Amino acid sequence: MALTDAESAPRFARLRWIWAPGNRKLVFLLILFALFILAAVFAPLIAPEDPFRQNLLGRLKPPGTTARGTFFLLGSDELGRDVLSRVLYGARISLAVAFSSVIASALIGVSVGMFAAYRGGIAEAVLMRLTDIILSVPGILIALIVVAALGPGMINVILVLTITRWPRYARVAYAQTLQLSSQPFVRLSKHMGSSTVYILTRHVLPNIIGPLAVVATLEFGLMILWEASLSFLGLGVQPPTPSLGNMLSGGRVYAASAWWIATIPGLVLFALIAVVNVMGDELRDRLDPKGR
Amino acid sequence: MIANPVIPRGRWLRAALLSSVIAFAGLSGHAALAKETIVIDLVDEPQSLDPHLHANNSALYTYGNMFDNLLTRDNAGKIIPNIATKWSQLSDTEIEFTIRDDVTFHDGSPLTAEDVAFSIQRIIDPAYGSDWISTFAAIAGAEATGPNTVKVTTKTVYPLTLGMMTKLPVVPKAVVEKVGDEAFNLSPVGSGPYKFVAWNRGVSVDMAAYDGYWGEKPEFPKAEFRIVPDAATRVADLQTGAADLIVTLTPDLAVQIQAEPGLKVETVATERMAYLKLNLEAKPFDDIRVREAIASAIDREGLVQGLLLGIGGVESEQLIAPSSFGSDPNPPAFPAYDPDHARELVKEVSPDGPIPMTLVNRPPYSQSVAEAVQQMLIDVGFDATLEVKEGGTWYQQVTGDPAQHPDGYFINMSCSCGDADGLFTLVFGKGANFAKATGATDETEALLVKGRTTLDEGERMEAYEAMADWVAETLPIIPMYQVSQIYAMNEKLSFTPTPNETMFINRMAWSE
Amino acid sequence: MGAFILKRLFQAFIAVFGVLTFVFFLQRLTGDPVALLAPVNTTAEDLERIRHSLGLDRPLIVQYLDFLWGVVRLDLGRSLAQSIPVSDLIWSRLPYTLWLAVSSLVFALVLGVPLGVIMAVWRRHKLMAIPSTIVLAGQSLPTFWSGIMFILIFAVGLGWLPSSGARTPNSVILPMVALGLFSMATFARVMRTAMIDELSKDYIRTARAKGVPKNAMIARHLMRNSLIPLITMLALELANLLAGAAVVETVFAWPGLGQLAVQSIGARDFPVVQGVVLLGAVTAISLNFLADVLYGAVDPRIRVGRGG
Repeated sequence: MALTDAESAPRFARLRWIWAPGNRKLVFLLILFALFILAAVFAPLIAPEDPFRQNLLGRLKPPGTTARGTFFLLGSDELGRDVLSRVLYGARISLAVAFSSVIASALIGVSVGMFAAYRGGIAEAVLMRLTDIILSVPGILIALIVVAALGPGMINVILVLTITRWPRYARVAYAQTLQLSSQPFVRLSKHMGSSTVYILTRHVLPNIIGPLAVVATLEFGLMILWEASLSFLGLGVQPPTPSLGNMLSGGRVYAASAWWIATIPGLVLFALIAVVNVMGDELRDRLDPKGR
Repeated sequence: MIANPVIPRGRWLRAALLSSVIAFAGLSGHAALAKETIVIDLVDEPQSLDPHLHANNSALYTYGNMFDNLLTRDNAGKIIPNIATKWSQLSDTEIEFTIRDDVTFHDGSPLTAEDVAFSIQRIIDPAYGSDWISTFAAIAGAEATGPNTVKVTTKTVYPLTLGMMTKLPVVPKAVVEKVGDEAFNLSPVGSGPYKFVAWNRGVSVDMAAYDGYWGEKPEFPKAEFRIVPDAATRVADLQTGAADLIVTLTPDLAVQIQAEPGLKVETVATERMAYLKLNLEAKPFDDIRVREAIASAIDREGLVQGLLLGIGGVESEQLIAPSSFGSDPNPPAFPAYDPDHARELVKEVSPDGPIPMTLVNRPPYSQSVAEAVQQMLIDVGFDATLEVKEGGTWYQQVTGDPAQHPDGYFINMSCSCGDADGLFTLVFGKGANFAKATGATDETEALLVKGRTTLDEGERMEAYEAMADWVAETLPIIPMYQVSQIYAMNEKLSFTPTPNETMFINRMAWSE
Repeated sequence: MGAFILKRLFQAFIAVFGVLTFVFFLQRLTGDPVALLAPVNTTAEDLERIRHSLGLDRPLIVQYLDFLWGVVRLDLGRSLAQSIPVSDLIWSRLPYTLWLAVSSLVFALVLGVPLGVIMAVWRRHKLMAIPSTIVLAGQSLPTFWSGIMFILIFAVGLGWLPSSGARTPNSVILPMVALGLFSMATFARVMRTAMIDELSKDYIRTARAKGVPKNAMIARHLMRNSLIPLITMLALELANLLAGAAVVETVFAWPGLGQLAVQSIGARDFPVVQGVVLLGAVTAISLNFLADVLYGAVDPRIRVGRGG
């Protein structure tokens, strides 16, 4: 609500909102997150080297060395590729996986949840039982089996994450919509003959977006972790395409001899997930003070 | 000893710094007494301990120490007597083996000709369902002709019978028939240097030295094969002294271990050949100029020295390893590394731009080699894409209809049989699973048949030299290197790895 | 309550049936286990013979019905890779997985609850950056990475603990910590939120105004009320730990079901994968049910069956 107030206020008031003591942390986090996104989106412009370009005589060079005319700010990996460039591209892939799977599962989950709660009856029974069923099955195990059957790769990873995660959103959307459906303004709109889609998107969705945003933020970090775990088991995004997960996983055997190969993507991964998680906590405190 | 290696206490702070972590591994000492137990880290669980049932590497390493093969190979690969001391060719299709009379099984019963005949019959029985059944396909049967003699009959004239018998473990007929196949697998009884103690699923197979062993007795009273899937963890086991010998490492890990005091690495170039298989039914790869361009684009030396660090493999322009029979001592000329020449050829075939090319790799074949080759091909004008496929999907694609094949795929292939017949037949033989779209002809098939049905070594050699010439001219595959098996171990252990990837503990020694 | 249990049982039945069917057909979409398991030189005829002896050449629907009939009789079939009954394989691995999951749960509780309390009660304190960072690390580090770091530091560097395996009782410590960190972070966060919630309630303010010592108050009222959301989570978290152990078990060569599942999925050992999935689904569903019951038991205000 603070946001809408700020938007309608004069410019200096908006600035003051950003710098208000209670908001500084969130603004700072948002800026950090935006930096990650920008770095990933503009990776082709920022990256000093081609992330796929191998240099077999410049393998495993520590950060800050120059080999065969290439300066490796963050070192080179086991194929002599520039770690900095690969981290930038890897973050791009990891973010793409997390964004796609979060958006896709949120879309499916929220539609299912809102529809089930609003429509009730058989639709509610069937959809919510399906949600319960998927929620009650060990997700990572099913993910492993699906990826093994479909073959590893970015698209299949996104697909698997979507299939196993949408019920989280469905549950929240369902519970929130259920509460809202009995509100006078929703009933009035229904009475006036508004279509289901109209009511759900215009009246219900804007009012439940807060708790959903909290879930999505926390899921976002989790998705990056899952991609990394799948990579460790050889079922994530496949090399040579870099992802933070497969760089970390592929570099782990060098942990003692060439620490930078795994440590740098590890730190980036940690920082990214940490920022997202803290952001999620902040959002929760604002938008959804009671719930978990 | 395992949990508490000796490390000076005051130094833990320094040790906590990641970079110095490794320096301390060397300080972990072993007991000064004679070594009681040798611990070997394997990658995965043995599929069976019944030596006739399954054949994954872990199983071979494990049951190889509990059973004796009829014949064996020395560390150089030469066939030498083992349970059988003598053999003679009775006719073109019959060989008689003479058996030692001083061998006993772990239950104390003597090993007889009956047991040998039973073992052969068991392994070739389709109803039993041995993984070895195709390996022993040429055998028609075996019978005990006397207390110490066994006659083995082959279906055709077959020059590889002796090599095959180096892979025939002898099991006790009486025990197998008494307890049944199922129980025998869970609690095997052999005649080898070690007897079975326990199989802790997912953890280890434990063994104890057999006092009544007829041959060279092992130095270690106990042996333990452990299952440790992750390479980084196997290395940690070796560094902490939890393991004495570990298998299957990347060259980078090997280099890392070589630098540490108290540890060492042994490698051996195996019969396993890493090559790029091309699809000769796909355009434009049916054009010899394109294949020659690919062959000239691949820098074998760069791969082996740069990527495998001179440890993970040995450059090869041939399919057949030098240690195998039938390897051509004067190999035919093979396109040398010449990227400019490759570029010209590509331009000639496709003046308008790069040639699209799909490549497929599967773990555990080296992904970095696949990526490097992809880059080399891109450099000379191929628009090469590399896809990684998981085992089952990969197998379906590369053994199925050639129309579905990728333009090229990476594979490491071995028969561990010490003979050119093995790989040539697997890669080019009529009806062989992987021999699709190879450009093989009736002539090449005739050479292969001749090679495997002629007893005269000179004639066989000629057939295989002709095959090698054909491969170098036709380029259906681009050999890259002989894969080396890398073992890392405690410096005090001496172990000589063999090209056919065996691991006999009674050939190892420990020196304090 | 009776109707509720019946409904849940029916739902559980549908869930298990659905998952098994899904997994059964999905696995068979691609890849041939026989070709993968047999040596490379196995001829096409021999492959066919092996397929026949394993019953894998029968029509899919026949195999499926046969499999379901087996499940009804509690016969999970035989492992294709290891040629022994699947149930034997599972029984040999189950104790390790339980041991690891339960100790991880205990670890997560013992560390997570006090951390959460500290973070709530002294939330304005400067030193709170420390527990916050620990919790954040638990949430943000991939388990395989922390696992390998633990091995390098505590096994290779310091030599305090075994690097892998399950031969000595202290072998469980490193995998337990690696696996439990994420749950620890979850518990700490839940505990923190619940405590802050309780702290703002009227009775606490009243008690404080009356001069009840802070520590006594935390022990007596706050802890008890804040534990409610945590208790309801226990069963669910245990289910997560059981299912999530695959990676940790692989890193530490811990001989549990997760490692077995990963290997069997890779080798297309269909019967073993099906067996592990069956056990996993049944366990997860039972624990979910338990969570619901606990939820109702600790907080009677909440109607049975989680509405949201």
